Amino acid sequence: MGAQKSDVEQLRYWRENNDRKSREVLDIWLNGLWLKVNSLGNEKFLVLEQVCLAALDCHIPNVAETCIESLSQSFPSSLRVRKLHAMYFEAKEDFGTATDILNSIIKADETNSAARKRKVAVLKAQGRTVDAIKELTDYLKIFMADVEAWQELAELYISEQDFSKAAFCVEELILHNPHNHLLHQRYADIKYTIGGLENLETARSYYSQALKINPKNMRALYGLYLTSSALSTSAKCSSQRKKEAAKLVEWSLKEIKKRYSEANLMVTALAALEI
Amino acid sequence: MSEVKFSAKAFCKIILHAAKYPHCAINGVLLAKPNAGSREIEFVDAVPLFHISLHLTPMSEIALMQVDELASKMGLVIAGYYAASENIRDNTFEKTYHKVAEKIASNYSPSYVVVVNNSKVSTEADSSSLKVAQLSEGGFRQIEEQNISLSPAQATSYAIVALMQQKAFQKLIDFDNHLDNICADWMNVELNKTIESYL
Repeated sequence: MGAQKSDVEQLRYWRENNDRKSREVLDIWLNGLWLKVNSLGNEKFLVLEQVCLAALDCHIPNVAETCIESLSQSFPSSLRVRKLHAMYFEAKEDFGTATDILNSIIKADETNSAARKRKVAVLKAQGRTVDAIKELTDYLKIFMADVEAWQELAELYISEQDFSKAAFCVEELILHNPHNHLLHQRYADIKYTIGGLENLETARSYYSQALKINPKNMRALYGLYLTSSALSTSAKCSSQRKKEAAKLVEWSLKEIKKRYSEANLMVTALAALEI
Repeated sequence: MSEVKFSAKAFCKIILHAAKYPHCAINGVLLAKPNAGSREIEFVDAVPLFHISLHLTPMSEIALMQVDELASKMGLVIAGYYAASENIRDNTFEKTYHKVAEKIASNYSPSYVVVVNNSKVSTEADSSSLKVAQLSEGGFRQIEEQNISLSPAQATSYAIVALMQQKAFQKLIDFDNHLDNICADWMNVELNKTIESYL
Protein backbone atom coordinates (compact mmCIF):
# COMPACT_ATOMS: atom_id res chain seq x y z
CA MET A 1 0.00 0.00 0.00
CA GLY A 2 2.83 2.36 0.86
CA ALA A 3 4.27 2.39 -2.60
CA GLN A 4 0.90 3.06 -4.12
CA LYS A 5 0.29 6.04 -1.88
CA SER A 6 3.48 7.75 -2.95
CA ASP A 7 2.72 6.97 -6.60
CA VAL A 8 -0.62 8.68 -6.32
CA GLU A 9 0.96 11.66 -4.60
CA GLN A 10 3.58 11.89 -7.32
CA LEU A 11 0.90 11.86 -10.00
CA ARG A 12 -1.03 14.53 -8.13
CA TYR A 13 2.07 16.70 -7.90
CA TRP A 14 2.73 16.46 -11.64
CA ARG A 15 -0.93 17.12 -12.42
CA GLU A 16 -1.08 20.23 -10.28
CA ASN A 17 2.16 21.60 -11.68
CA ASN A 18 1.22 20.85 -15.27
CA ASP A 19 4.45 18.90 -15.73
CA ARG A 20 4.78 17.04 -18.97
CA LYS A 21 6.07 13.75 -17.59
CA SER A 22 4.23 11.40 -19.90
CA ARG A 23 6.82 8.63 -19.88
CA GLU A 24 7.00 8.66 -16.09
CA VAL A 25 3.23 8.78 -15.64
CA LEU A 26 2.86 5.80 -17.91
CA ASP A 27 5.59 3.89 -16.07
CA ILE A 28 3.76 4.34 -12.77
CA TRP A 29 0.53 3.21 -14.38
CA LEU A 30 1.94 0.11 -16.02
CA ASN A 31 3.95 -0.79 -12.93
CA GLY A 32 0.80 -1.75 -11.08
CA LEU A 33 -1.34 1.32 -10.50
CA TRP A 34 -3.74 0.12 -13.19
CA LEU A 35 -4.67 -2.81 -10.96
CA LYS A 36 -5.46 -0.61 -7.99
CA VAL A 37 -7.17 2.31 -9.66
CA ASN A 38 -10.61 1.41 -8.29
CA SER A 39 -9.42 1.93 -4.73
CA LEU A 40 -8.58 5.59 -5.33
CA GLY A 41 -12.05 7.02 -4.70
CA ASN A 42 -12.87 10.26 -6.45
CA GLU A 43 -9.30 10.84 -7.53
CA LYS A 44 -9.62 7.81 -9.80
CA PHE A 45 -11.13 9.87 -12.59
CA LEU A 46 -8.46 12.54 -12.49
CA VAL A 47 -5.79 9.86 -12.61
CA LEU A 48 -7.51 8.16 -15.54
CA GLU A 49 -7.61 11.43 -17.45
CA GLN A 50 -3.95 12.10 -16.70
CA VAL A 51 -2.90 8.61 -17.75
CA CYS A 52 -4.99 8.85 -20.89
CA LEU A 53 -3.22 12.06 -21.94
CA ALA A 54 0.18 10.56 -21.12
CA ALA A 55 -0.61 7.46 -23.17
CA LEU A 56 -1.62 9.58 -26.14
CA ASP A 57 1.57 11.59 -25.77
CA CYS A 58 3.65 8.40 -25.84
CA HIS A 59 1.51 6.92 -28.57
CA ILE A 60 0.23 3.87 -26.72
CA PRO A 61 -3.37 3.96 -27.92
CA ASN A 62 -4.65 0.85 -26.14
CA VAL A 63 -3.94 2.30 -22.68
CA ALA A 64 -5.70 5.51 -23.68
CA GLU A 65 -8.63 3.49 -24.97
CA THR A 66 -9.16 1.64 -21.68
CA CYS A 67 -9.01 4.92 -19.75
CA ILE A 68 -11.56 6.58 -22.03
CA GLU A 69 -13.86 3.56 -21.86
CA SER A 70 -13.82 3.51 -18.09
CA LEU A 71 -14.38 7.29 -17.95
CA SER A 72 -17.28 7.27 -20.37
CA GLN A 73 -19.00 4.56 -18.37
CA SER A 74 -19.00 6.85 -15.37
CA PHE A 75 -19.75 10.04 -17.31
CA PRO A 76 -21.63 9.05 -20.46
CA SER A 77 -22.51 12.57 -21.58
CA SER A 78 -19.45 14.48 -20.36
CA LEU A 79 -17.89 16.94 -22.82
CA ARG A 80 -14.58 16.57 -21.06
CA VAL A 81 -14.53 12.86 -21.87
CA ARG A 82 -15.66 13.60 -25.40
CA LYS A 83 -12.62 15.86 -25.78
CA LEU A 84 -10.39 12.94 -24.80
CA HIS A 85 -12.12 10.94 -27.46
CA ALA A 86 -11.26 13.60 -30.02
CA MET A 87 -7.65 13.57 -28.87
CA TYR A 88 -7.59 9.81 -29.29
CA PHE A 89 -8.53 10.16 -32.95
CA GLU A 90 -6.06 12.98 -33.26
CA ALA A 91 -3.28 10.69 -32.03
CA LYS A 92 -4.37 8.08 -34.56
CA GLU A 93 -4.06 10.81 -37.22
CA ASP A 94 -7.73 10.53 -38.05
CA PHE A 95 -8.03 14.30 -38.15
CA GLY A 96 -11.44 14.37 -39.81
CA THR A 97 -13.17 12.44 -37.04
CA ALA A 98 -11.29 14.45 -34.40
CA THR A 99 -12.51 17.74 -35.89
CA ASP A 100 -16.09 16.45 -36.13
CA ILE A 101 -16.12 15.53 -32.44
CA LEU A 102 -14.59 18.88 -31.49
CA ASN A 103 -17.21 20.72 -33.54
CA SER A 104 -19.95 18.77 -31.80
CA ILE A 105 -18.52 19.81 -28.42
CA ILE A 106 -18.45 23.46 -29.47
CA LYS A 107 -22.02 23.17 -30.72
CA ALA A 108 -23.15 21.79 -27.37
CA ASP A 109 -21.20 24.35 -25.39
CA GLU A 110 -20.10 27.51 -27.17
CA THR A 111 -17.90 28.62 -24.32
CA ASN A 112 -15.83 25.44 -24.35
CA SER A 113 -12.39 26.94 -24.88
CA ALA A 114 -10.50 23.64 -24.59
CA ALA A 115 -12.23 22.19 -27.64
CA ARG A 116 -11.52 25.30 -29.67
CA LYS A 117 -7.86 25.17 -28.73
CA ARG A 118 -7.74 21.50 -29.66
CA LYS A 119 -8.88 22.47 -33.15
CA VAL A 120 -5.80 24.65 -33.45
CA ALA A 121 -3.69 21.68 -32.35
CA VAL A 122 -5.30 19.46 -35.00
CA LEU A 123 -4.33 21.95 -37.71
CA LYS A 124 -0.84 22.23 -36.30
CA ALA A 125 -0.44 18.45 -36.31
CA GLN A 126 -1.23 18.43 -39.99
CA GLY A 127 1.50 20.96 -40.62
CA ARG A 128 -1.05 23.63 -41.59
CA THR A 129 0.57 26.38 -39.54
CA VAL A 130 -1.05 29.23 -41.45
CA ASP A 131 -4.54 27.79 -40.87
CA ALA A 132 -3.66 27.16 -37.23
CA ILE A 133 -2.69 30.81 -36.84
CA LYS A 134 -5.97 31.90 -38.37
CA GLU A 135 -7.99 29.62 -36.08
CA LEU A 136 -6.07 30.82 -33.06
CA THR A 137 -6.53 34.51 -33.88
CA ASP A 138 -10.26 33.86 -34.24
CA TYR A 139 -10.15 32.18 -30.87
CA LEU A 140 -8.34 35.14 -29.32
CA LYS A 141 -11.03 37.51 -30.59
CA ILE A 142 -13.42 35.72 -28.22
CA PHE A 143 -11.09 34.75 -25.38
CA MET A 144 -8.83 37.76 -25.22
CA ALA A 145 -7.45 37.09 -21.77
CA ASP A 146 -6.17 33.59 -22.51
CA VAL A 147 -2.48 33.94 -21.80
CA GLU A 148 -1.66 30.41 -22.93
CA ALA A 149 -3.18 31.10 -26.33
CA TRP A 150 -1.16 34.29 -26.80
CA GLN A 151 1.95 32.34 -25.94
CA GLU A 152 1.15 29.65 -28.50
CA LEU A 153 0.36 32.27 -31.13
CA ALA A 154 3.76 33.86 -30.50
CA GLU A 155 5.43 30.48 -31.00
CA LEU A 156 3.51 29.86 -34.21
CA TYR A 157 4.49 33.27 -35.60
CA ILE A 158 8.11 32.61 -34.68
CA SER A 159 8.04 29.28 -36.50
CA GLU A 160 6.66 31.12 -39.54
CA GLN A 161 9.40 33.73 -39.04
CA ASP A 162 6.83 36.49 -38.75
CA PHE A 163 8.71 38.21 -35.96
CA SER A 164 6.90 41.53 -35.74
CA LYS A 165 3.58 39.75 -35.14
CA ALA A 166 5.25 37.46 -32.61
CA ALA A 167 6.53 40.58 -30.85
CA PHE A 168 2.97 41.90 -30.64
CA CYS A 169 1.82 38.68 -28.94
CA VAL A 170 4.61 38.91 -26.40
CA GLU A 171 3.69 42.58 -25.72
CA GLU A 172 0.23 41.32 -24.92
CA LEU A 173 1.73 38.72 -22.58
CA ILE A 174 3.84 41.32 -20.80
CA LEU A 175 0.69 43.39 -20.18
CA HIS A 176 -0.90 40.39 -18.54
CA ASN A 177 2.14 39.51 -16.53
CA PRO A 178 4.53 42.45 -16.20
CA HIS A 179 6.78 40.84 -13.62
CA ASN A 180 7.73 37.74 -15.56
CA HIS A 181 11.38 38.10 -16.54
CA LEU A 182 11.12 35.35 -19.16
CA LEU A 183 8.64 37.40 -21.17
CA HIS A 184 10.87 40.47 -21.17
CA GLN A 185 13.77 38.32 -22.27
CA ARG A 186 11.69 36.64 -24.97
CA TYR A 187 10.57 40.05 -26.27
CA ALA A 188 14.17 41.17 -26.45
CA ASP A 189 15.16 37.94 -28.23
CA ILE A 190 12.56 38.65 -30.90
CA LYS A 191 13.58 42.30 -31.29
CA TYR A 192 17.22 41.29 -31.62
CA THR A 193 16.30 38.73 -34.26
CA ILE A 194 14.50 41.39 -36.32
CA GLY A 195 17.62 43.57 -36.07
CA GLY A 196 18.25 47.22 -36.92
CA LEU A 197 19.41 50.02 -34.65
CA GLU A 198 16.06 50.83 -33.09
CA ASN A 199 15.18 47.20 -32.38
CA LEU A 200 18.61 46.60 -30.89
CA GLU A 201 18.07 49.46 -28.48
CA THR A 202 14.65 48.11 -27.52
CA ALA A 203 16.17 44.67 -27.05
CA ARG A 204 18.82 46.11 -24.79
CA SER A 205 16.23 47.81 -22.57
CA TYR A 206 14.17 44.65 -22.28
CA TYR A 207 17.19 42.48 -21.52
CA SER A 208 18.10 44.98 -18.80
CA GLN A 209 14.60 44.84 -17.37
CA ALA A 210 14.65 41.03 -17.39
CA LEU A 211 17.97 41.10 -15.55
CA LYS A 212 16.63 43.60 -13.05
CA ILE A 213 13.70 41.33 -12.24
CA ASN A 214 15.83 38.21 -12.12
CA PRO A 215 19.61 38.72 -11.93
CA LYS A 216 20.09 34.99 -12.48
CA ASN A 217 18.72 34.98 -16.02
CA MET A 218 21.78 33.98 -18.08
CA ARG A 219 20.01 34.43 -21.39
CA ALA A 220 19.28 38.04 -20.53
CA LEU A 221 22.87 38.60 -19.46
CA TYR A 222 24.23 37.14 -22.67
CA GLY A 223 21.62 39.11 -24.57
CA LEU A 224 22.70 42.33 -22.92
CA TYR A 225 26.27 41.55 -23.92
CA LEU A 226 25.28 40.84 -27.53
CA THR A 227 23.09 43.90 -27.99
CA SER A 228 25.54 46.31 -26.43
CA SER A 229 28.48 44.96 -28.38
CA ALA A 230 26.45 45.28 -31.58
CA LEU A 231 25.57 48.86 -30.65
CA SER A 232 29.14 49.74 -29.70
CA THR A 233 30.32 48.88 -33.20
CA SER A 234 27.31 50.15 -35.11
CA ALA A 235 28.15 52.84 -37.65
CA LYS A 236 24.85 54.59 -37.10
CA CYS A 237 25.44 55.20 -33.41
CA SER A 238 26.79 58.53 -32.16
CA SER A 239 30.18 58.32 -30.43
CA GLN A 240 28.65 59.25 -27.10
CA ARG A 241 26.27 56.30 -27.26
CA LYS A 242 28.99 54.00 -28.52
CA LYS A 243 30.99 54.77 -25.40
CA GLU A 244 27.98 53.99 -23.25
CA ALA A 245 27.49 50.70 -25.07
CA ALA A 246 31.17 49.82 -24.70
CA LYS A 247 30.86 50.30 -20.95
CA LEU A 248 27.91 47.96 -20.88
CA VAL A 249 29.84 45.35 -22.85
CA GLU A 250 32.59 45.49 -20.27
CA TRP A 251 30.13 45.23 -17.40
CA SER A 252 28.13 42.34 -18.85
CA LEU A 253 31.28 40.41 -19.69
CA LYS A 254 32.52 40.88 -16.13
CA GLU A 255 29.16 39.66 -14.81
CA ILE A 256 29.16 36.61 -17.09
CA LYS A 257 32.61 35.62 -15.87
CA LYS A 258 31.55 36.19 -12.29
CA ARG A 259 28.61 33.80 -12.73
CA TYR A 260 30.90 31.09 -14.01
CA SER A 261 33.53 31.54 -11.34
CA GLU A 262 30.85 31.54 -8.64
CA ALA A 263 29.75 28.16 -9.98
CA ASN A 264 33.38 27.06 -9.82
CA LEU A 265 33.60 26.52 -13.56
CA MET A 266 36.58 27.23 -15.72
CA VAL A 267 35.10 27.70 -19.13
CA THR A 268 37.61 28.02 -21.91
CA ALA A 269 34.83 28.62 -24.40
CA LEU A 270 34.17 32.02 -22.82
CA ALA A 271 37.34 33.32 -24.44
CA ALA A 272 35.27 33.56 -27.61
CA LEU A 273 33.48 36.58 -26.19
CA GLU A 274 36.58 38.69 -25.70
CA ILE A 275 37.07 39.97 -29.20
CA MET B 1 29.78 10.90 -54.51
CA SER B 2 30.66 12.03 -51.00
CA GLU B 3 30.91 9.63 -48.12
CA VAL B 4 29.63 10.63 -44.68
CA LYS B 5 30.60 8.88 -41.48
CA PHE B 6 29.25 9.42 -37.99
CA SER B 7 31.24 8.47 -34.92
CA ALA B 8 29.39 6.72 -32.11
CA LYS B 9 29.53 9.90 -30.01
CA ALA B 10 28.06 12.06 -32.74
CA PHE B 11 25.36 9.62 -33.77
CA CYS B 12 24.21 8.68 -30.28
CA LYS B 13 24.00 12.29 -29.15
CA ILE B 14 21.85 13.28 -32.10
CA ILE B 15 19.41 10.44 -31.46
CA LEU B 16 19.41 10.97 -27.70
CA HIS B 17 18.76 14.68 -28.15
CA ALA B 18 15.73 13.89 -30.30
CA ALA B 19 14.59 11.29 -27.76
CA LYS B 20 14.94 13.65 -24.81
CA TYR B 21 12.54 16.18 -26.35
CA PRO B 22 10.09 14.15 -28.43
CA HIS B 23 7.62 17.04 -28.44
CA CYS B 24 10.04 19.78 -29.50
CA ALA B 25 12.05 20.71 -32.52
CA ILE B 26 15.74 20.37 -31.70
CA ASN B 27 19.00 21.37 -33.32
CA GLY B 28 22.72 21.21 -32.88
CA VAL B 29 26.03 21.25 -34.72
CA LEU B 30 28.45 18.58 -35.83
CA LEU B 31 32.21 18.73 -35.48
CA ALA B 32 34.73 17.18 -37.86
CA LYS B 33 38.45 17.17 -38.46
CA PRO B 34 39.24 19.82 -41.08
CA ASN B 35 39.78 18.14 -44.40
CA ALA B 36 38.72 20.80 -46.88
CA GLY B 37 37.73 19.75 -50.36
CA SER B 38 37.73 16.05 -49.53
CA ARG B 39 34.87 13.81 -50.57
CA GLU B 40 34.91 12.03 -47.28
CA ILE B 41 33.91 13.46 -43.96
CA GLU B 42 33.71 11.98 -40.52
CA PHE B 43 31.71 13.74 -37.86
CA VAL B 44 33.57 12.97 -34.68
CA ASP B 45 31.32 14.78 -32.25
CA ALA B 46 27.97 16.51 -31.95
CA VAL B 47 27.02 19.48 -29.80
CA PRO B 48 23.32 19.58 -28.93
CA LEU B 49 22.14 23.19 -28.90
CA PHE B 50 18.47 24.07 -28.55
CA HIS B 51 14.97 22.78 -28.00
CA ILE B 52 13.19 26.07 -27.31
CA SER B 53 12.53 28.63 -30.03
CA LEU B 54 15.02 27.57 -32.64
CA HIS B 55 14.34 30.54 -34.82
CA LEU B 56 15.44 33.27 -32.43
CA THR B 57 19.03 34.24 -33.10
CA PRO B 58 20.67 35.76 -30.00
CA MET B 59 21.35 32.58 -28.06
CA SER B 60 22.39 30.74 -31.24
CA GLU B 61 25.05 33.39 -31.75
CA ILE B 62 26.36 32.93 -28.23
CA ALA B 63 26.33 29.15 -28.60
CA LEU B 64 28.11 29.16 -31.96
CA MET B 65 30.82 31.53 -30.67
CA GLN B 66 31.52 29.23 -27.75
CA VAL B 67 31.34 25.98 -29.70
CA ASP B 68 33.62 27.38 -32.39
CA GLU B 69 36.18 28.50 -29.82
CA LEU B 70 36.22 25.13 -28.10
CA ALA B 71 36.25 23.18 -31.36
CA SER B 72 39.24 25.07 -32.70
CA LYS B 73 41.10 24.37 -29.45
CA MET B 74 40.52 20.67 -30.12
CA GLY B 75 41.55 21.01 -33.75
CA LEU B 76 38.02 20.51 -35.05
CA VAL B 77 35.70 22.57 -37.20
CA ILE B 78 31.94 22.97 -37.27
CA ALA B 79 31.09 21.22 -40.50
CA GLY B 80 27.47 20.24 -40.10
CA TYR B 81 24.11 21.21 -38.72
CA TYR B 82 21.55 18.74 -37.46
CA ALA B 83 17.90 19.22 -36.65
CA ALA B 84 14.67 17.37 -36.02
CA SER B 85 11.33 19.05 -36.49
CA GLU B 86 8.47 19.12 -34.07
CA ASN B 87 6.05 17.43 -36.42
CA ILE B 88 6.77 13.75 -36.98
CA ARG B 89 6.03 14.02 -40.70
CA ASP B 90 8.34 16.96 -41.41
CA ASN B 91 11.48 15.20 -42.45
CA THR B 92 12.43 17.36 -45.39
CA PHE B 93 15.51 19.53 -45.61
CA GLU B 94 13.40 22.53 -46.57
CA LYS B 95 11.24 22.34 -43.44
CA THR B 96 14.16 22.14 -41.08
CA TYR B 97 16.34 24.59 -42.95
CA HIS B 98 17.88 27.16 -40.71
CA LYS B 99 20.06 30.24 -40.91
CA VAL B 100 22.67 28.48 -38.79
CA ALA B 101 23.21 25.98 -41.61
CA GLU B 102 23.84 28.87 -43.97
CA LYS B 103 26.31 30.39 -41.55
CA ILE B 104 28.20 27.13 -41.20
CA ALA B 105 28.34 26.79 -44.99
CA SER B 106 29.87 30.25 -45.29
CA ASN B 107 32.62 29.25 -42.84
CA TYR B 108 33.45 25.77 -44.00
CA SER B 109 32.98 23.90 -47.22
CA PRO B 110 31.76 21.31 -47.93
CA SER B 111 29.26 21.49 -45.08
CA TYR B 112 26.33 19.21 -44.44
CA VAL B 113 22.79 19.33 -43.12
CA VAL B 114 21.51 16.33 -41.19
CA VAL B 115 17.80 15.81 -40.60
CA VAL B 116 16.55 13.30 -38.09
CA ASN B 117 14.04 11.06 -39.80
CA ASN B 118 11.49 11.29 -36.98
CA SER B 119 9.46 8.28 -38.00
CA LYS B 120 12.55 6.06 -37.92
CA VAL B 121 13.78 6.95 -34.45
CA SER B 122 13.28 3.98 -32.18
CA THR B 123 15.29 2.01 -29.68
CA GLU B 124 16.99 0.41 -32.64
CA ALA B 125 18.00 3.48 -34.56
CA ASP B 126 20.59 3.04 -37.29
CA SER B 127 22.05 5.23 -40.00
CA SER B 128 18.72 5.23 -41.83
CA SER B 129 17.31 7.40 -39.04
CA LEU B 130 19.37 10.25 -40.41
CA LYS B 131 19.05 12.01 -43.74
CA VAL B 132 22.11 13.86 -44.89
CA ALA B 133 22.55 16.48 -47.59
CA GLN B 134 25.48 18.48 -48.73
CA LEU B 135 24.83 22.19 -48.84
CA SER B 136 25.98 23.70 -52.09
CA GLU B 137 25.02 27.03 -53.64
CA GLY B 138 21.94 27.37 -51.49
CA GLY B 139 20.59 23.99 -52.57
CA PHE B 140 20.67 20.53 -51.04
CA ARG B 141 22.35 17.54 -52.61
CA GLN B 142 21.09 14.54 -50.75
CA ILE B 143 23.63 11.86 -49.93
CA GLU B 144 22.53 8.35 -50.84
CA GLU B 145 21.83 6.07 -47.92
CA GLN B 146 24.56 3.58 -48.81
CA ASN B 147 27.12 6.37 -48.50
CA ILE B 148 26.16 7.15 -44.91
CA SER B 149 27.79 4.98 -42.30
CA LEU B 150 28.43 4.70 -38.60
CA SER B 151 31.89 4.06 -37.30
CA PRO B 152 32.24 1.55 -35.76
CA ALA B 153 29.00 0.34 -37.32
CA GLN B 154 28.09 -2.68 -35.26
CA ALA B 155 29.17 -1.37 -31.87
CA THR B 156 27.34 1.93 -32.37
CA SER B 157 24.06 0.23 -33.14
CA TYR B 158 24.42 -1.90 -30.01
CA ALA B 159 25.33 1.17 -28.00
CA ILE B 160 22.24 3.12 -29.01
CA VAL B 161 19.94 0.23 -28.05
CA ALA B 162 21.52 0.05 -24.61
CA LEU B 163 21.49 3.83 -24.17
CA MET B 164 17.84 4.13 -25.09
CA GLN B 165 16.85 1.29 -22.80
CA GLN B 166 18.51 2.84 -19.80
CA LYS B 167 17.07 6.25 -20.71
CA ALA B 168 20.47 7.85 -21.13
CA PHE B 169 18.78 10.78 -22.84
CA GLN B 170 17.95 12.12 -19.39
CA LYS B 171 21.66 12.78 -18.97
CA LEU B 172 22.08 14.62 -22.25
CA ILE B 173 22.66 18.35 -21.84
CA ASP B 174 22.00 20.85 -24.60
CA PHE B 175 22.86 24.55 -24.66
CA ASP B 176 19.37 25.48 -23.50
CA ASN B 177 19.89 23.33 -20.39
CA HIS B 178 23.21 25.08 -19.88
CA LEU B 179 21.58 28.50 -20.03
CA ASP B 180 19.04 27.37 -17.43
CA ASN B 181 21.81 26.12 -15.21
CA ILE B 182 25.35 27.04 -16.12
CA CYS B 183 26.73 24.08 -14.17
CA ALA B 184 25.25 21.75 -16.80
CA ASP B 185 27.96 20.90 -19.30
CA TRP B 186 26.94 21.03 -22.96
CA MET B 187 30.05 19.14 -24.03
CA ASN B 188 28.52 16.12 -22.27
CA VAL B 189 31.77 14.73 -20.91
CA GLU B 190 29.90 12.33 -18.64
CA LEU B 191 27.61 11.06 -21.37
CA ASN B 192 30.56 10.63 -23.73
CA LYS B 193 32.13 8.29 -21.21
CA THR B 194 28.92 6.27 -21.01
CA ILE B 195 28.76 6.04 -24.80
CA GLU B 196 32.38 4.98 -25.04
CA SER B 197 31.89 2.30 -22.42
CA TYR B 198 29.64 0.49 -24.89
CA LEU B 199 32.17 0.43 -27.70
